[in-house]
Order: sequence, then C-alpha cells, then structure tokens
Amino acid sequence: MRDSGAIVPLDTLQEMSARQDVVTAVHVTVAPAEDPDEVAAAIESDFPQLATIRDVDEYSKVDQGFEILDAANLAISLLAVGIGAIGVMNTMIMSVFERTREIGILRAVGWRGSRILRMIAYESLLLCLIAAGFGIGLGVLASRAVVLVPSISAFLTPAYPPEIFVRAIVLGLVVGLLGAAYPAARAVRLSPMEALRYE
Amino acid sequence: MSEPAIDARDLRKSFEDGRINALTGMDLRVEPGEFVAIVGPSGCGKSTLLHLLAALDMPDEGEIRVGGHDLRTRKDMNHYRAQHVGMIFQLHNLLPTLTALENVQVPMFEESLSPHARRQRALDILDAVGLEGRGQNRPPELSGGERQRVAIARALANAPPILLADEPTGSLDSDAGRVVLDLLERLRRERNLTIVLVTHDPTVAGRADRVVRMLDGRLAPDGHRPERLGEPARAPA
Repeated sequence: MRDSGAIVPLDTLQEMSARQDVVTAVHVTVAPAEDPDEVAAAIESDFPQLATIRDVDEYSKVDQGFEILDAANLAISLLAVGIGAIGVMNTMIMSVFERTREIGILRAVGWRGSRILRMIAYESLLLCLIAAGFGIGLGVLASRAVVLVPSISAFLTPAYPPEIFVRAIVLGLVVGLLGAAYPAARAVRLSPMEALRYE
Repeated sequence: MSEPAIDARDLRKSFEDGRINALTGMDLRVEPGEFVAIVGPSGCGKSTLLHLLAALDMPDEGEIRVGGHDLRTRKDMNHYRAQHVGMIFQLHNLLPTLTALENVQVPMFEESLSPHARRQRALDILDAVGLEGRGQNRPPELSGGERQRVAIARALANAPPILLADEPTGSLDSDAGRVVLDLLERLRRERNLTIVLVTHDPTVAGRADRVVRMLDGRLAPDGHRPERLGEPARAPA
C-alpha cells in the first residue's frame, strides 16, 4: 500500500465496486526512445473517448477536480437539508397556527399553558417521527431508482450507513419541534378569548 | 348575609386601542343559587361581561369578586376556570375530533384522577344531561341540541358552583332550546348552581329569577328587574 492506495486484482476490484468489465484508468509506460506526447496523441487519435494525462501536474488537476466535486456535493446536500428543514418547520408552524382556536378552548376549560405546550410537543414529535419514517423509506427507494440509470450506476453506489438515518430522524424531530414551539407558545400567551376569536 | 356568588364593580373593557368601549362601568351582583339573565341589544357588552366573569379575558378596570375572592389576586386563573366556573358558548366550542365522552373529560385533566375515574365521572354527567349512549359520538354526528348538552356536561365536569352561559339556545330551534333550558333549570335545582345567562330572547330571559338589562356597556337605567318576565318574583332556590 502507498498513499492510501492498494493494489488488488482487476476482477476483485470490479466486483467490489460493482463495475463489471469497467476500467476507468490504464497506466501506460512509454519506452525510453518514444516521445510521450506522440504516444498520448496516438492514443487519443485511435480512442477518441479516452483522455490522456501525461505528467504529475495534470494529476493534481484531476485531484482538484474531485475536491471541487466533493465541495459542490456538500453544498447541494446542505442546501437540500436546509430547504427540507424550512419545509418541515413551515408545515408545523401552519398546523399549530390552525389549532389556535382549539388551544383557546383548552385554555377556556382550565388547561395550563405548560400542559398545552407538552401536548403539542408530543404530537409534533410523533408526527415528525412518522414523517421521518416515510421520508427515509422514500429516500431509499429514490436512491435505488436513480442507480437504475446505467450512466449513474457506473459511478454511484447507494450506501445506507445507520448514522445517516439517525441524523435524518434527529434533524426532523428538532426542526419539527422548533416549528411547533413558536405558534404554540404564541397561542398560549394569548388570552383564551383572543385564541377563541382566531380564525 | 352570605357572600355574593359574583360581585362585579365598575367593570371597564375596551378593544382596538380604546376605539370600542365594550364595558363602561358595569356592576353586577349575583347571589348563590340565583339564576340571572342578562339582556340587551347587540354590542351592549353582554358577552364581554360574561367573558370577564369566566376569566377568559381581563378587565381594563374594575373589580370582580367570586365567592368573596378578588379575581385580580388569584395566581392561578387556569384553576379558577377549571374549578369555579363552567362556561357554555353559543356555538358549543367542542373539539370536533374527540367523542362526546372525551370532550367532557377534557377539563378533568387538570385534576389528579385516574383514567377510569375520569371516564366514569364523564359517563355520569352525560347521563345527567340525557345523553346516555351518545358518548362515543363525535360532535358532527350529534344534533345542535345534543352538542349543546355535551357542552353543558363539559361545563359541569369539575362540578363548579357557577355556570356562565352565552346565548346557549341562540343557535338552536325552539324545541331544542326548551330542552336545554329545562336541563339548566333541573341541574340548577339538583346541584344548587348559580347561573348567569346572556340572551337576546325574552322567552329565555323569562326562565330566570332576575333579568338584568344592559345598555352601552353598563346597566340600563331600569337595569334590574327582580321579577320573571310576566311572572311574580321568587326567591332563589
């Protein structure tokens, strides 16, 4: 092993990476008498679908490209999580706002604000837990559907480490709870009559 | 002389930054066991008065004493609303997703009752209002009169000494309204309840021991009428 790399038989690697009969790179050693630029030009001429890399500097360009891809991937993931979180929060805010009148009824018959907040919190947690379950199921199905496209499956293999699911559930619960807390606290602070008048 | 059940003095309440003066110095004294009807034109402050008595809203000025205790000094208004007064609204304000039995149990959650005791008490109250066998129905499955009877049962859930009713027959036909009023009178006799009822309807007001007239947020000049409408006066039960 060297530089975090490993040498394994081609068949084994293809099997491990689920890319049967696929080769992504071929190293060519040029004889001392040959000009590497001419060899590279000949390869690209005979196999137009291939790109050749001739020196170490070009390797670093490839590495940089992967770093950019990783950064873009992270940015898109964060954006997707942020948009999802706003969606969950908005849903919870709207659903609890719509219950302002119900909260007014509970206050009118003597429920303490803390009891109402507790009830809303439990209901929100349960709702978000169920939604997270559905979301995870749909996510797994979607990731499996995406790799049915050959050009994607050549490069991407879905993985389902448990921490991904734990992270998704915790995020959903926290965001849902925050979304429910604001309108519930607001409704509890209103006088029961103001809450009952809410349309 | 015993403490009045309700003694409200110089109540003032305005809305929309003082543009609407709902109460402009209202006084009301109700004796224990008395059935008082409050009448007056729309917008004269009848419902606002009832909401203040139920502690659903707070007066801008004035004093409300219930059973001799000043509401302003009470630390726990929720306890007052749960234990000391039962409120009946014109449109019942039941929770539509709960059954009648569950609706009646809602105010009991602030008491340390076992689920079995809560259920049994709610069943007893539903029986008392004539809704035995209807406990598993949700409000949309009940008639207007039945819904109002569930609301009365809910108001009585914690056996409060005072019942406050805001147009309890306002959305009912005359037969259903009569059933509700008969029920209120019977419950009052059986439980020695003090009832304050707001109404537009002279027939409904005629069922009370005393009629209080309001005008422009306070007692009308001829505000107190000790007699039933069309009948001689009688002492509170």
